[in-house]
Amino acid sequence: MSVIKQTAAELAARIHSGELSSVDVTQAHLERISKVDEQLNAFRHVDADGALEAAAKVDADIAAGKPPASPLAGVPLGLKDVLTTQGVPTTCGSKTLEGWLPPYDATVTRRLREAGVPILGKTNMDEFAMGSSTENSAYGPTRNPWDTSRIPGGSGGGSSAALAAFEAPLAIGTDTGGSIRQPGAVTGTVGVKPTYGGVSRYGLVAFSSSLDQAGPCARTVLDAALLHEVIAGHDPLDSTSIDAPVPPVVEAAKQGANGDLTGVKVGVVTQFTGEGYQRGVLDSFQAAVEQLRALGADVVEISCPSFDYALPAYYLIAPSECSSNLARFDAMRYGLRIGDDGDRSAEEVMSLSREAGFGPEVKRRIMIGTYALSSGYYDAYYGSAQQVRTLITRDFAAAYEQVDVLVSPTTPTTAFRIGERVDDPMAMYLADLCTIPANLAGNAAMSVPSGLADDDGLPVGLQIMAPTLADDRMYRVAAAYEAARGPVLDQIPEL
Amino acid sequence: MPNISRDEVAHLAKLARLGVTDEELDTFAPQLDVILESVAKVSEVVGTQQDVPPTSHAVELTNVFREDEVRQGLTQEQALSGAPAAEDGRFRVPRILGEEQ
Amino acid sequence: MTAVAETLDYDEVLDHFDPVLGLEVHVELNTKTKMFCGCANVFGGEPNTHVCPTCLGLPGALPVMNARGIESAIRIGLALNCEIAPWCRFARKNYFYPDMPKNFQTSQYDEPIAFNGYLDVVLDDGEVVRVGIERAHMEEDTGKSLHVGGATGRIHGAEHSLLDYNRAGVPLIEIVTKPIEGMGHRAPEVARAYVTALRELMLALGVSDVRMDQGSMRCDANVSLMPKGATEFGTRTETKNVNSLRSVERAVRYEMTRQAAVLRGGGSITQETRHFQEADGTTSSGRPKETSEDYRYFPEPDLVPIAPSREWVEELSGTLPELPWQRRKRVQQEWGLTDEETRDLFNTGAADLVAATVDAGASVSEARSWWVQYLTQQANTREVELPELPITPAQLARVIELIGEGTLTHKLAREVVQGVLAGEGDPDQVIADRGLEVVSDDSALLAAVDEALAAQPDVVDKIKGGKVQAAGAIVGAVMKATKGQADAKRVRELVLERCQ
Ligand SMILES: [Mg+2]
Ligand SMILES: [Zn+2]
Repeated sequence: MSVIKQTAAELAARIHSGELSSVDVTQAHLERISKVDEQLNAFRHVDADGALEAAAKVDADIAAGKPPASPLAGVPLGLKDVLTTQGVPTTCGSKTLEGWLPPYDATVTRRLREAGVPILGKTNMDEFAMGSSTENSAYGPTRNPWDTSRIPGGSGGGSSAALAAFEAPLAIGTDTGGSIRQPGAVTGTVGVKPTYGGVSRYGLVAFSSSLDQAGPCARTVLDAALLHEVIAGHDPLDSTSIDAPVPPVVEAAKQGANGDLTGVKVGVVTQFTGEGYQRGVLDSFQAAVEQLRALGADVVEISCPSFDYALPAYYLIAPSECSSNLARFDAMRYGLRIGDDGDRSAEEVMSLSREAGFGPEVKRRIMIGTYALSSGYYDAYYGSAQQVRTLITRDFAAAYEQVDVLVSPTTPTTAFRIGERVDDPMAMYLADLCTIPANLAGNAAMSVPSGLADDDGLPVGLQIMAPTLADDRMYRVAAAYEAARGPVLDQIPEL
Repeated sequence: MPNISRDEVAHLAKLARLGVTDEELDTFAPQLDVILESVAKVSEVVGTQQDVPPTSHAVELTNVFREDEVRQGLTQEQALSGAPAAEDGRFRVPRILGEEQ
Repeated sequence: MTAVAETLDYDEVLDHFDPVLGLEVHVELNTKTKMFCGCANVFGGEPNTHVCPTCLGLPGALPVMNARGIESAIRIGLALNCEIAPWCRFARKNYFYPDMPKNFQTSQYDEPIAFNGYLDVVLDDGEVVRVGIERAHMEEDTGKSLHVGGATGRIHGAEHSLLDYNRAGVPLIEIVTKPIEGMGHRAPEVARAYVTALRELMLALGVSDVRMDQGSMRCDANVSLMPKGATEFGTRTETKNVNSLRSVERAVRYEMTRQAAVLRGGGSITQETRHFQEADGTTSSGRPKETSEDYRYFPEPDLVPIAPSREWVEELSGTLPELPWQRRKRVQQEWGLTDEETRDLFNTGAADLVAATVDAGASVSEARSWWVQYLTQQANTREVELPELPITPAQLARVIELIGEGTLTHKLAREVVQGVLAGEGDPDQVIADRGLEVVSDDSALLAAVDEALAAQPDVVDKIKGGKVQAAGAIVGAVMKATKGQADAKRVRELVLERCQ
C-alpha cells in the first residue's frame, strides 16, 4: 500500500524500525499536497522546508540509535491555522492576519515539535473558527474530497479534508461548537474534542475562550488517541488547563479494538433524532446503535431536555466572548492596517481596518456579542445563556449517572453544497446542533465514521460523548465500533 | 424582544469599531434580528426554573496562580516584528482622538 | 450675557454648599513581574523590552495570575480594614484604546477582592477623620503613549503616537472611597491627608513604591456640591491627572470654587472627567460621561476564580507590619512627644529620617529639630520631598555629634549642612574645604579678646565691678571679629580671666 494511505500508527512503526525514513514519508505527503490541494484548498500554507527539516532530525536520531521522541515521531501532520507557529504564517483564515508571522509557538505546536512530528503546513478554516463549512475563510472555501462541490465541514474543514484526501495522516483541529467533530463526520474521518482543559489553549487564537478546545483529527481511532496523548496534559501557561494525568486514551483505543463492549452502558440522546434530521443520517445512526448492541453494550434512551436550548445559548456565549477576544485586531500592533494616510485618527483607522479585515460572519457575531453584553441586555441574553449552561451540565451529570457514554448523530445532515447556506446564518448554525452541548459542559466528545448515508452516499458520523476527564471511555467505544464497522475511507472516489 | 433597526446595527458597529457600509446595514439588520429573536429562547427556559446559578466556565478550578518570577519575554525586535509601523522602538499609530480612561 | 466669574471665593462656596468627595487611587504594585505574565515589572527601560505575547495581547496568548499580586491585594484590603471576598473573579472591561493591547482591561467589576473598610486619617490639627473604603480591586495597567507632533507634545494636535507596552499589565490596585461628606471647608485638606495616609500605608506594607511623580500612585478626585441642607448629592466631576499630594488639595479646592461659580450663576454641572493643570492649579474639561462607553463587563473566561481560604487570609494578616497609626502612637510614647510634636513629625514626613538619625547616634530632640524644622524648610524651598534632600541621616548625625563636641556651633553646623546639600561631600569634608572649624586655640583667640577689651573700656569696668553678664558684649564682638568660628564658651572664659 502506498505510504500516504497508511495509518499514523503503521507509519510510526516503520519509521522507528528504520524501514522507512520520515523524510520520505513527509516528502510523499508534500507531493500529494502539490498534486491534489489545488482542487481542495485544504492547506493555507505549506511549510515544506520546516517539515523536511523536522523529519530529517527524526531520521538522524533513529540512525544514531536514540529512542523516538514520541510514539508519533516522524509522522507528519497538518495544523489548523488557528494555532500559532513561530515564524510560520498564522492567519486564522482572516485577511486581518495575512502575512503575520507569530513570534511564538502555541503549546500544542511546541509539543508537536518536541514529539518529532513534522508540521506539513497550516490548514484552512472558517475565519477565526466561526462557521460550519470553511466557506468563511478569507482565502476561499475548502472542498470535500468526497464531492468537491460540497463543504468539508467547519470550521476545521482544512484539517478533515487533508486527512480524507491523504494529504496528511494526522491533523489538529479546534472545537468550539463542533469544529473538529462535524468536519470529521462529513469527511468520514475521526475527530476528537477532548475534555475542556485537557489540551492547552496557549497559542490557540481565541474565538470563545470558555469553549475552545484543540484536539486530534485522524483517519483511525488509534491514530487520534496517539495524537491526543502527544498534545494533551497540564500547561502552566493556560490557567484553565487541568492539572491531572491525561486519560489513558491509547490504552483504551487498543482495548476497544478487541471489539467487546460487554457491560458498557450507552445512552441514546432522544433530543437528537427525528424531525429535521436527514433520513440517511438517521438510518446510519440506527445501524450504529444496533452495532453497539451487537458488541455487547447496554443501550438505553436518555432524555436531556435542556439540550434543546444549547444552540441558542451557544450563539450568545460564543459571540459574546468573541466580541471581546477579537477586539485586539485593531491594526495598532499587528495585522492589516487600512486608511493610515497621516490624517485619519487611530479610531478611524481601527474601524476601517476591521471593516476590511473581517468577513461578514465574524462581523455578525461581533455585533451579536456586543449586543448581548450591553447593559440592559446582559441579564436576558448572556446571563440566561450562562444559566442554560448550568442546566445542560446538570442534564449531562444525570445522564452519566445512568450510562457510561452518550451517543447521537454528529450532525443532522451529510455535507451540504458549497453556497447552499451562506446567506442563511440560522440554517448554517443548525449543523452544530448535536455537538454544542459537550462544549457548553466542557465534556469530552468525538465523531467516528458510521458509513455512508444510503440516500446520498456521503459520510455520516457517530458522536460519542463522555464525562469530563473520561475521554478514554469514548475511545474504547469508538475503537470497538470502528473495528466492527470497517473502514469507510476506502470508498472515497479518487481525486 | 428584538427588533433590530439599522440605527441599532450602526450603534453596535460603532461600539465594536467596525466600519459598515449602508449596504451592510441593510443586510445585517434583518439577519441580526432573526438570530437574536431565535437566541432569545434562552430566557424562556430559565424563566421557568428558579435558582439556576450561571455557569461561566465548565472547569471548576480556583486559585490558579504563577510564582512572581521573571520569565524571558520577547526582544524589542520580535515585539515590533508584526507592527504595521514602528519608530524608535515603539509602535507607531495614527493620532489618538479619545482620552485615556 | 453677563460674564460669570470662573470661580467663587472659597468662603462663599461654603456659605452655600456642602462638598462631597470620592477618591479613586490607583497604586502600582512593586511585584517582580507583571500581573498576568512573567515580564519584569520595572519603571522605564528601553521601550517594548519588557513585553511578551501575553502583555502585548498577541493572538492566542493567555494570562495567568501572579500569586504575589493577589497576596498584596489581600494585605492592602486587610490593612484598610476591609472584608476579603471568599470568592471573586476578574472581569473584562471592554473599550478600545491603543495603549491597551487587548482592547479590554482585565479588571474586577462586581466582585472586588476587598470591600467595605476604612482608613483613619489625621488632619493637620490632629483631628482624626475616618474615611470609608468602598472597595479595593485588582486590575492591570496600560501601556504608555507618546504623542508626536503638535505644539505641546500632548494628545491634542499630535500627528501620530508612539506606543510602549512595558507598563502594560503591571498590577494595579484601585482603592475607591465611599462618599466623603460633612467635611465643609476642610474637604481639600481631608483629600490630601487621605492620600498621604494611603501612601504611608502602602510604604509600610512594602507593596508599592507609591511615587506619584512616576505614576506608581495616581489619584482621581470626584467632587460634587450640594446646596446647604440638601440630602441628595449634586452632579460630580472626576478630575484626573492629579500627580502630587499638594495637587490633590488644590484640585479639590479649585473644583469646589469652579462648580460653585457655575451653580451660583444659574448653570448646572456637566458630569465629565476633568484634567488638573499643575501650572495654574485649575481643571479643564475632558470627556463628557454621558457619551462614555458601555464597558460590557463579563467574567474573564481565560482566568479562574480566586477563592482565598480563611487560613491564607489569616496567614497574610499575620504579615501586616506595624501600620502608620499604630506606629504614630508608639513613637509618641517612646520619644515622649506632645501631640503637636508628633503631628509635625509625621506631617512633614520626617519620622523615618529622624529614627534613622537617632539610630546613627543623635539625640531625638536634635534629630527632630533638624529634620522637622531646618531641613523641612530646605525641602520646601527646593520643592522636593524631604527624603529626596541629598543628605543622609548618618551625615546629619555626624553634624550633630560635632555640635555636641563643641567643634561646631549651630550657625556653623547649618553652613556644613548647606555644604552637604550642595554636594560638597561628607560633613568633615565640607568643614575642611570651607575651613569652618571652631577656633578654640587660646593664642589665636587672645588677640581678638584683647582687641575687643581695648575697644570697650567701659564694659571692662563693669565686669571688673562684678557685672559678669556684661561680658556678653565682649564675647559678641569677638565672635563677630572671628566670623563666628570662635568657641564662644572659651571666649567667655578668656574675657573673664583678663578682667580679674
Ligand atoms: Mg479601574
Ligand atoms: Zn508580558
